[in-house]
Parts: sequence; C-alpha cells; structure tokens
Amino acid sequence: METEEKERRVNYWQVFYDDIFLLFFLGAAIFLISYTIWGLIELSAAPLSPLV
Amino acid sequence: MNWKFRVCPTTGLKVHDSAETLIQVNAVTAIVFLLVGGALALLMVLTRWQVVHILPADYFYRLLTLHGIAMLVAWIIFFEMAVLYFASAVLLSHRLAVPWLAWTQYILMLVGAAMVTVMVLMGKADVMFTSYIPLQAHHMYYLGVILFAVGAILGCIVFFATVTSAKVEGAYEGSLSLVTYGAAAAAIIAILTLAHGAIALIPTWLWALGVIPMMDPEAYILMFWGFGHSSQQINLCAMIAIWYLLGTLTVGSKPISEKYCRTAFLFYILFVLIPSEHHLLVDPGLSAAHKVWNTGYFMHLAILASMMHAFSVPAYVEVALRKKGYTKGLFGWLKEAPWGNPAFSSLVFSVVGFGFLGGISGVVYGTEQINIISHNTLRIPGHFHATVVIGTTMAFMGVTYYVLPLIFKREVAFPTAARWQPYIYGTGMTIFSVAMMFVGGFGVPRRHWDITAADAVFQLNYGPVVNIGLAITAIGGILAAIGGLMYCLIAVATLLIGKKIPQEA
Amino acid sequence: MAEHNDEHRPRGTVVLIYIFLACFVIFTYLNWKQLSDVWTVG
Repeated sequence: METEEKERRVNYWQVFYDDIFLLFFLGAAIFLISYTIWGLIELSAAPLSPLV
Repeated sequence: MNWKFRVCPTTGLKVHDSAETLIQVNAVTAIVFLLVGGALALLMVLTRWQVVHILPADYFYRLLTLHGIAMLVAWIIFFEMAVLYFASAVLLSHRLAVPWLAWTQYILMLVGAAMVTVMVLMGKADVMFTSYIPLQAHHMYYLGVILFAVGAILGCIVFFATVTSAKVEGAYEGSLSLVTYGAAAAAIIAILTLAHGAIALIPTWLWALGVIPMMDPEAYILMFWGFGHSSQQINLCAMIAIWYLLGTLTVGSKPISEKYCRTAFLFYILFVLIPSEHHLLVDPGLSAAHKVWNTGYFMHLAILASMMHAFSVPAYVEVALRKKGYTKGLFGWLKEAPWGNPAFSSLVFSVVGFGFLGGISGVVYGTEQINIISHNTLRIPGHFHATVVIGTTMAFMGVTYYVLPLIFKREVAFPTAARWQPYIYGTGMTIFSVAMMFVGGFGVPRRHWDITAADAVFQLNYGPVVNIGLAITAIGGILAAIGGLMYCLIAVATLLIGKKIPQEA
Repeated sequence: MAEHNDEHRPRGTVVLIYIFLACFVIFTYLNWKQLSDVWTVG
C-alpha cells in the first residue's frame, strides 16, 4: 500500500523526463521527420539538371 | 560474479576496474589526437598568416583535412567515450556493463581513426573534413570513418546498458544524477548522429569502391550534416554535463533547480539536431520552408536550452560562493572564486567563450539572411572554434585536472604550469576566434590557401586590415598552441612521473 | 525557494545575463546592418 502511494506521488512529468528511451524515440522522430525525411522528399522532387 | 572495485579516497565513489581502464585508454588516446591536431593547427595558422605562408597548397589542404578529423572527431569523441563511462559506471558507483563491447568500441575507433589518418597522410583523401561529393577519397578513408562511427555507437550502447543495469540492480533510485542525465542526452544525440553518418558514408564508401556508379551531392550534404553538425551537439551535451560536474567539484555548487536544468537537456534531445540545416542554407535543392522551419522555429528552443544552461551554471556557482560568505556587492563572489584552480578557470573560459563568442555568433550566422554573407567565410571557423575549442575543449581540459587524480590516481604534475595553462590557452583561443570572425566580416574565405588568388585572372585585395587581422589570428593561434602543448605535457608528465595517490581496495 | 537567504541570491549573474543580452543585440544589429549595406533593396 505504502509503496503504491509513493509511486502515485511521483510527478508524471518526472516519469516522462526520466524515461530516457522515450526521449530517444521522440528526439529521433522530430529530427527524422523535420530534417531528414522532409529534406529527402524535397530533393527527390527537384528537377534533374538538363546538363546530366 | 565478482566485480573488482576500488573506493576513491577523495569522492567515496566506487570505481569498477574495467571502467577505469577503459576511461584511461580512451582519454589517453584522445590526448594523443589533441597533440597531433594541435601540431597541425600550428601549421594552419602559420599558413594563413599571409607573410609566413609556410605550407604549399597541397599540404595545406591535406593537413587541414587531418586537423579537422583529429580535433573535431578523434579528440572529442574518444574523450566523450571516457566521459560516458565515467558518467555511467563511476558516478553511479556501478560496474561497467559488457566490458568486451566497450573494448570493441575502443579498438574499432582506434583502427578507424588510424586508417583515416594514414589515408590522409598518404595523400589519398584530400577531401577536407566534409568530403563533399564529387570529391572522392580512397575507399579505405570512408571505411575508417565508418568503423570509427560504429565503435562510437557501441560506446553509447555500453553507456545505456550500464545505466539500465544500475537501475535494475538498485545502484540508484528515482532519477539519474544531473551529470549522468546530461551524458544520457549526449548518448541519445550520438546514436542519431552516427546513424546519419552511416547513411551518408556507407553509400559513399560503395561509390568509392565502384559498386555504386553515382552519388547525389545534395542528398549527401543533407545526410552528412545530419552527422557532421549533430556530432557537435554530442560535444555540447557532454560539455554541459561537465560544466555541472566542474561546478560541483570546484566550488561545491548544486543546481538551483534540477527541473530547470533537465528541461534544458530535454530541449536539446528534441530540438538541437535540426539546426544542422544551417549548413544547407545556401544550397539550391531545398525549399525556403525547409530551411526556415529547421533554422528558425524549433532551433530557438535549442538556443533557449543553451542559454538556460549558460545562465544556470554561473548562477549556481554564485550561490555556492555566496553561501561560503562571499556576499560583498554584486561581484564579490567572483573576486573570491578559486581562480588558481585550473578546472575552475577552464570552466569560466568555457562558459563565457561558448556563450558570448560561440553562442551569439552561431545564432546570428545561422539565420538564413545573414548566412548569405557569412557562409564559407572565416566567420564560420571563428564561430566554431569558440564553441568547440573554447567551449568543449576547455571543459574537457578542466575536467582532466580532476580525472588525473581520480582515475589515474596521480597528483597533477607541474601545478604552477597547470594553473597558467587555461589562461594561456583560453586567451589565445579568444584572440584567435574574435580575429577570425572579424576578418571573415570582410568576406575572407575559409579553407583557402591563397586569398589573394595570385594565379587567377582577377586579383583580390582585401586591404591591409585583413592582413593585420590574419596576423592577429595567427598570434592567437600560436598562443593557444603553447597552451595546448602545456596541457598535453602536464597530462603526460602526470601519467609518467606524477606522485601516486594511495588507494584502498 | 524559501531557504534562500537574500544575500545568497545570484544577483551578479542577473547582471551578467543583461550584459550577455546587450552583446547579443549589438552583434545582431551589426550583422543586419552589414547585410543591408551590401544587399540593398530597389
């Protein structure tokens, strides 16, 4: 009982901050979507130079 | 299983022998590369000093390539591996998980760095640090970089495995300590960074082998900077974790608000990687939307995080010193700070240089409009020598003065020289960075052997102020090289002749 | 922060922060000024 209560008292934000693997996935998602995937989509849509 | 530990007499931390050895080999290798990179730096500044101009063109580009690799990659990432093992195994007083994997990390990184060095010195990889397509190096060069990156990823895995096993086995409860949390942020960023390195360099390696007929230069640049610039964010996190550590070790300070500092690290994990985009601001392939989104919106949350850290470190140093009774006026505490402690003076140089010189210039040069006039000029190396050298390198140097007694169990040799070392190095690098940014303001190109374009149809004349600026840059560089050499000599002398500190098993 | 005695407040750091922000403003201004000088509109 006592441990349960203690667990409940831990702030949700703290649980979020402490979950380094969740933070890893969030960081990866933002970077990959915002920079990498979006960038690659734009580059693949760029017209090919007539010189090629 | 029986794990072998010793107890550090100064800190009371339990130190696992495997962790200790791995920290030692990674740190020593890092310092060797610093020495190599520093010697090359001296040749660089003596070439860019117009009246000296010591190297011929081919050697300038070749050795500049090696300078970038030795300093920006080898010195910093080897040292970061030592920091990751220290922040996990030592600070949590826990065993290092999977030591064989950590040894694999070290061997892969060492072999990779050696391959790259040999290829560059043989003149088979005059491609600069960026190795932009269509420049092509020998395939062994790319393989070396890939092996190095794989090794570094293994180091991050060992870090996470150690933190997880410490949690499972009850070595700590609740949250990680702030320093370990910062190191975890560095490790998260490192994995994402190195994955981009692999995506950029594995196809390039296959291209150099002739397996792939062609590479897309734009896609390469996009992926390369996902690696090349993001790897500097690993340094950033490691540096800030060290700031907190040095604050505690030098003046006994504690963060005023853990939540505040952790929020800043959280912002780093989420938002600090996308500013890699500012290397692509003058590239034609990407839309303005992609450029402005990545350098203008989320990036500011990462900048906010840097400011949060850079403001909180002096604040908690001030609070600690005021609590010791140095409460006179606004800056009485600063006057009474332990300026004779090389770790403290390194910390101050690191925070101030990183914030005032590197931070401000980085934000401004990374803006799309200003980038038009700063891209590929000497402003950029001026900026990143402030962040990576005054910021990261000086933080690493500062922590070395504690690592030597704690991990190598020896008293620092030549304490008077050690006291002066950060001032000489920091002053030299400050002059160097400021002068370089100043000269860059006149449009002087970076990575250029001959800014007068002597053999070209059109001659360029930047005027005497640029020549004076380049001379001042070189003088700052020479002073920094002296400070860097002092650091290496003090570290090596401590290992060889430093007085041994008695330990209990 | 009830335990913080008034003498222990980081007042010096607040001043340092304002100096930092002033440097930020000056540096930003100088760069935009230079840009406007070399890249005139119209």
